[in-house]
Amino acid sequence: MEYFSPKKPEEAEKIKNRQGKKNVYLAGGTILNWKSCPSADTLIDLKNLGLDRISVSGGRINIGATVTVQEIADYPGTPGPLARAARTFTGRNIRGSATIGGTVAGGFFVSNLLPVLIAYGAELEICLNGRRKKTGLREWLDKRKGLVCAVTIKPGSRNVFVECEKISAIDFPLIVTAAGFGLKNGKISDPVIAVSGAAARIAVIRVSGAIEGRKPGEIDREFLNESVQKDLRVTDNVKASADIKRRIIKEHICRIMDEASCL
Amino acid sequence: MLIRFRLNGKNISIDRPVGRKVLPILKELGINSVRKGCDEEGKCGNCSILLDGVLTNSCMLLAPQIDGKEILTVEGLSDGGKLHPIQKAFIEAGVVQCGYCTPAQILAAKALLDRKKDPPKEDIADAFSGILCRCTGYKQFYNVFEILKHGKKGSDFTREYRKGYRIVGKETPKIDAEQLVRAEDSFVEDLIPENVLHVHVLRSPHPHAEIVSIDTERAEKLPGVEYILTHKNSPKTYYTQAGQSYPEPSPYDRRVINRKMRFIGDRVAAVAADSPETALKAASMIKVTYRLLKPVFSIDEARAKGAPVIHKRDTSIDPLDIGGDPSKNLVCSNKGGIGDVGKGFDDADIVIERTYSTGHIQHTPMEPHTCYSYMHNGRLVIRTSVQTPFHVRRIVASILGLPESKVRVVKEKVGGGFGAKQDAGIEDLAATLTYRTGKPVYIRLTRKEEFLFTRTRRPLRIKVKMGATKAGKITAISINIAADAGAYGPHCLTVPMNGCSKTLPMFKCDNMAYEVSSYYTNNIVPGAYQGYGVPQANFAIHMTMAEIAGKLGIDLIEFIEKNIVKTGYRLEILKQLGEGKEGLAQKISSCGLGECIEKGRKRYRGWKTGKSRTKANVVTGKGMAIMMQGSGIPGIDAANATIKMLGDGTFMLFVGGADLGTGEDTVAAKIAAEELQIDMKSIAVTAADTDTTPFDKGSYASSGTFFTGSAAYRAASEMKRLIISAAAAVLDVGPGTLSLRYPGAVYASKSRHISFKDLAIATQSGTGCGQLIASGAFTTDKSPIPYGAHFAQVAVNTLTGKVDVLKYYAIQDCGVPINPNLAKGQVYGAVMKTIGHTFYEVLKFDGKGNCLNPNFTNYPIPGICDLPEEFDVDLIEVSDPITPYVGKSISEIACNGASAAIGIAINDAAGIWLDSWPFTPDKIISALKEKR
Repeated sequence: MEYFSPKKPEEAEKIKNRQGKKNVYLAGGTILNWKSCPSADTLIDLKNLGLDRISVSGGRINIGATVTVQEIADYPGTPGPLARAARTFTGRNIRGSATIGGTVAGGFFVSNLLPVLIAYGAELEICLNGRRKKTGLREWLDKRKGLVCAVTIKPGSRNVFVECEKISAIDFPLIVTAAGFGLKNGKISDPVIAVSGAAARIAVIRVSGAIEGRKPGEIDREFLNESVQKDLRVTDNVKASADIKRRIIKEHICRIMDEASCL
Repeated sequence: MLIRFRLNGKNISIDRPVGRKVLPILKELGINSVRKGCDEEGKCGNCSILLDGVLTNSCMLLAPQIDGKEILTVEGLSDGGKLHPIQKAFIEAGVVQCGYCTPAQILAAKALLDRKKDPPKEDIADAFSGILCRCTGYKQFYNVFEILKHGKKGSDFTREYRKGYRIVGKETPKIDAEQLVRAEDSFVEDLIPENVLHVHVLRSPHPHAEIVSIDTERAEKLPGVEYILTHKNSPKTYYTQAGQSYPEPSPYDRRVINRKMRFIGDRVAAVAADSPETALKAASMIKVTYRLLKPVFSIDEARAKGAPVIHKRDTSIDPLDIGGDPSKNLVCSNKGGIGDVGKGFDDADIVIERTYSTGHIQHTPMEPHTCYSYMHNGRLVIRTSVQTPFHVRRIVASILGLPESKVRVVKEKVGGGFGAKQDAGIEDLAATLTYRTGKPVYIRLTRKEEFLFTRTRRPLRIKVKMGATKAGKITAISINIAADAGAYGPHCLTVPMNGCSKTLPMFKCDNMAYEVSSYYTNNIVPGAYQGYGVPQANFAIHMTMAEIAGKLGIDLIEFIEKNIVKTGYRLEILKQLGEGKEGLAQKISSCGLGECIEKGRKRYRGWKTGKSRTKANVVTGKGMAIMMQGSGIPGIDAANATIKMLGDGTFMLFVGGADLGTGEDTVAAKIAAEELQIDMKSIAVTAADTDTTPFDKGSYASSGTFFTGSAAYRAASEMKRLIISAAAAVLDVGPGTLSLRYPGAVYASKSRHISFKDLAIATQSGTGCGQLIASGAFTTDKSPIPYGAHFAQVAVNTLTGKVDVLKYYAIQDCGVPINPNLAKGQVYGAVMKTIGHTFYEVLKFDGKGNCLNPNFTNYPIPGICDLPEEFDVDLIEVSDPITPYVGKSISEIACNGASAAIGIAINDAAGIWLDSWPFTPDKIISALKEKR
């Protein structure tokens, strides 16, 4: 296995795109090294790319791709819902290694963080074909092309809430539900609900019709739940049936709207 | 790739492949403390290191990830002989049990204290959140910080017991704790030299099949392959792997490798090669042709007319008559009782009959099964992580046709047993391969293998029928337990029998009947598991009892109190409930059950129930359960101890008992030290080595404290007699005038005395009587019964079916708690384990014999963040006339209450009765729907 530790994302991407070989990125390693050693021809270590910082500017929080989940949990400027999601991600040992970039790139279907980032309307800074560009997280998850360099959120622009249900504390979550929306004159705008754990991909549901233009305290929870559930694919797994997962999502939606009502 | 890093303060520069994991690299560098408890899922955290101060799983790091970094492990914590304060605090708090995860826990504490000097409770939980421990139940980890930050002592967390004693009932360090917090060579994996043969077992992909042909020719030619064992060259002896006293109440129904495959994972071939990779590759080159047979996956299928027969009588030989009929897949059966249950039910105002069921639950000791065997001077030596070294010696000798004198078994430190390591589960294979090749062999199971190919808790179907009068007197109880024996029969009779013998004798009921049966199936093989059938049966009995109390409108505690036994009650039922032979009726020598209930009731009364004021859909309820266990098996088991006075008047104690991390060696040493009037530092223990220590049945059946401890007491008493006799000669006085006095002297009077040191010099000199060596043997026809009462408060979410345990209070009568904090730790551990069993721990199968969740990712176990918000254990002191230092058993019994107390609490909250483990949200929602 060849090993590279490039200093620029463009170099890393170039190595990744070398033809005829299986080239993999190494960040925290909690996905790549899960269970066995990676089977790859080339290991591209991202540790020297300088993507290990969190910065705040103009109301935006920019989180470098190799920032760990624990660092996000500990950072004083991390908004509450994101910090909460980070803190409840499995155990401290994993959080100390797992990176935000790995979480995004892995599209981990039982992620604590991704639904929250989606609810914030997070943007990604990626390196694609040798160029830096920005793209929405949701859009990127559909195609997953390019090296993720940073995740940016603007906490002040959206209200975000998150709920998580686990079987046991160290377990990956069974269901994570996050909701995010803007408020214009006290009324909801651009609402999004994101759910991980329901099926093999993170579900993103726009619930405009159910709540857009209403005040948070006016939302009919049953109607909102039905709106979410009708568009949601939920599957059984070894830990719970689809019915239980749907019930948990309903509970999450109710709790989230209770909390949102206090805005 | 050349990587440079600092390891425990030293610069390291080594060349390793890029794709190599850090865990094996550190092992190569002599770091023991990185323990591999999962299949590199990052779930157990036992391999933790501090990487630039951050707690990190070394199993999830590749070599380049440590380049330029600083690594700290516990090996770098202590300063020469001086322990780090955190290591000392772990010992002081009594949280070092098996010690396998302890190094990781110590590093977690260090990382936290480096960040925060006085961390709050939630930060402590967070710090340990990624490290699994199956022994301690986590609760006492909080005490470590009280010791470190507020100067507390171990004795501040428990009352001390037995006034007048210096050591027994007082806090003293566990005698092997220092080696464990330092991660000195302790476990089998720490002892493996480079030249061993590694074993890969090719396993059956079919649940029921016969091998038509097996071709190993290509595999044998692969360079590095030393030997391949198949049914063709397997030893022909039939035996049971069950680690039970001979003659075992388990059928001899297997060879090391059989021609017939009886479950998915049964041994097809074992390849011994110079590396694990070669062994695996060779195994993949073995060609096998099977004749598939119809499988049987349930008790009902097994006993159906015309069911496929899994074993024949000539391949399932019973050393004792256990009532089996292999032609009907019946491995064993037994029934009996006292009084007339028919009349008892007739006399009742209410009779309820219910059926309960439980599944396969795995012990998940953090250290998987490991075994290292080699030949030495023509003898077979087996160093292994096992609970029963003497039984293993007998089994292995029998398989290989050797006299026991040619086999030595040494139990190394055991990283959690809980019954999983009671059997000769891998020693039979390692020994055979070593004996055939003459070469050292190392077997270490993966976590997946641990889940599937060792043992599980036994799936039981339990039918309970109970009758009572309106006044709340139980008039009759009958219990019928049908067990899934899986593919082979270890413990097939004794587990279900124990389900009866450790539940029925709690009640003073004149009419009791029991019936047990076990059936061969093509499922994985259950065995012994802490509690040994009682957690399941006690759940069934309590749920039935609670339903009756509810229907009668009697408070459950009052109902229980009306019917329970007390000190002096004669347990006739125990005469019926033997283990493969008639049992022994017994008068209860002491019973703290009433006191346990009373103590718990005070707190329980204050627990609120009903709808949550703050959470929609949440209702709270509370429940309780009583329990008993045994303290070893009277009339069957035996233990021995030897004690030698050394040249300076200190002592070596030799016990055959196998300490699994529970503190059995410490118990034996404390009892001997108390008896001999010496300090703990004046006695050392060698244990569980079939060459150097006397016979002991091993550690199972809750026997360690009572049997091994009593053998140590008898050896110490005999030593006391020898000391007095020798001192009388030296002092020229009559022995009747002499007594032992602390610290280690014999007194006739103030002016006429001799220290043990002087006595040792005198006796061991050329004119002395010789070294003082005393032995003690312990067998008995009675054993003190431990009791307990557990109380739980739960919150049930009626929308999601999720249940949280809010409060848990366990009170145990373990006689005299010899190591109070360690004893409490075992209760915390047992309760946490069984909370996991109650809610989510179960192996799931696809209906074709394939397991769906043999890993910690899909089979989660409780971590520190799962502790109930209020969780306490209290031990009451109960004197018992059987021995002066009466330690009743403690660990197993504490597994018997959680599911019953929680099940009753769920009924109290939501009005539903659950009849099968685990109480998943799906089952709760289903029961709620049915109720509506």
